[in-house]
Amino acid sequence: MKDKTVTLDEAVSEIEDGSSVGIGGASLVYKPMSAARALVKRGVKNLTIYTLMGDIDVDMLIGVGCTKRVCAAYVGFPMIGLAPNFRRAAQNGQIEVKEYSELSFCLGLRASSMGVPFIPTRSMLGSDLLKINTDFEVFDCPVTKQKVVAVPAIKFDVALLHAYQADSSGNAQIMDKQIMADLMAYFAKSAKKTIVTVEKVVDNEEIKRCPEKTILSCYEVDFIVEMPYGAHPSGFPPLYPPDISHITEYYRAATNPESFKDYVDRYVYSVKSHEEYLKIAKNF
Amino acid sequence: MTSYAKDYTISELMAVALAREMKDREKMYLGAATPIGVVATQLARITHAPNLVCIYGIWVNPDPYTNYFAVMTDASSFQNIRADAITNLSELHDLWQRGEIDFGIIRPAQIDQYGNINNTVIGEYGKPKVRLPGGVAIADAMNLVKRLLIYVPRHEPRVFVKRVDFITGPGHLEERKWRSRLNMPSKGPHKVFTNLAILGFDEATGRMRLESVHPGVSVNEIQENTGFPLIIPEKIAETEMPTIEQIKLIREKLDPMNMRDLDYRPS
Repeated sequence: MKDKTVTLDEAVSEIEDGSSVGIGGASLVYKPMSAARALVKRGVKNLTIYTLMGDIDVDMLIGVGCTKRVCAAYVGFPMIGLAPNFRRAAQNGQIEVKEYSELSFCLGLRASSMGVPFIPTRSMLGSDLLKINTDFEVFDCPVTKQKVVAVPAIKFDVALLHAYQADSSGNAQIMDKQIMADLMAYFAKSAKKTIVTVEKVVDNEEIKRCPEKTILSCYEVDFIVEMPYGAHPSGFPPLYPPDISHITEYYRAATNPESFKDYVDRYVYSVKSHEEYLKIAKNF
Repeated sequence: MTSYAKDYTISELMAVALAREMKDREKMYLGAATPIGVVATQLARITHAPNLVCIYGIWVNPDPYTNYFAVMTDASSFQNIRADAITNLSELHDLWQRGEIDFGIIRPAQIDQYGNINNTVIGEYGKPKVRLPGGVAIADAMNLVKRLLIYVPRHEPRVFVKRVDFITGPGHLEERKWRSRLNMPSKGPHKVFTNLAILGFDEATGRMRLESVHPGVSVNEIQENTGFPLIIPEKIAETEMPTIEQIKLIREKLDPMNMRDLDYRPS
């Protein structure tokens, strides 16, 4: 089998100005944060980001000016506060927001995964989401004769995902008690190319010992990068929790453009390696 | 005879009032970041509604004594959540799509006289004064979940507005006619629980109506803190107080870390 292991910089070099990028995880867990930082460092422009619930990933990619459009059901820091860069940029008209609900976002990914143009739902009727996101189409269901919303398949150029372990051919696995694993699978199936960072790269023999844990098969994955704690500062339950003190540090810094610049200088631009990042950033 | 508590906080009163709206053998869904909603649901489960099926995020029937405060900050307790099942996100969403959830709990940033909810923007959409995080599943719940229990920790005019700036999730549109016209699976907003009162919606018009005032609160105070005229019935009940037993369970068993007061942090 082809060896798909690459460096992080090699992997994100696939992402160009104007690319659309799907970011896995949701709401401070399972976010491919090492990949998001690599993207910040690469400095691409005009990205369209698709994520179910965005937090530091989206907020940082907006703050450094990489992003022109965000497609999500939520961007914020649960129990901490509003996402500072997202808020500023949306209020100043610097980014476009394509509004989804949780269900419609996931149905869009599932439509892609199933290879169908849309999935119908009765959600969102009467909501202003339908006015803002004009991808949604209201139509009369030919079967029930009721009004329904067509949620079109969501497709993007590259999916960024963080999984537990993978072999070099791209078979990626989850760990026991990992949650929302199906979301990861739908992201991969909605992307032209899929980059998976993993806690560890293992031998194919290890994959074969528990094939039921394979969430992405080799034919769905293009690049594998070993990044221990690659979700940090988001969590990877049950392996490690969200690093709430680092997330709070980010949140405070991002409330002001000057201190946000200091944050990205310290934790992204001036950092030479992932190990160095973990050494200065990780609080557990 | 019921022994009512003299010593209780407003978050405890709200949790108890919410719990009293939950019926045994119902199936409910609770999203993240609703601390009073969590305490209310857990209270209902260990008192009058032992067969309430509770889906908290993707956990089905998590142990009622789960310390969610710790869950948010500590991976080992996340791992140790005892539950009947962990569902896939898609299984959960299919459950919504099939219209099988009896009730859900929502905490809005803005709500208007018809129960429309806004968690998207304050001000004009294209140039908002405040860009809020977005509704997550509010638009889904308000159309697919049979009834919505809504709670507002701070009853004030900036939350209770005449017309929401953006309809993230619809309430009783067209004076309550649109749900029956479109044969919607959901009956929409059922009741609103605040630090001052419990509010409902008029059967005929869908407009918000005062149901009961909390002990020590005047009708004037409630109206002054509401940005539109409420329907005020001639006889107004006082909200039933929490019992000594309910307060004891909340403080000692369900929420010793006082997660419920997280709803009162400055926003």
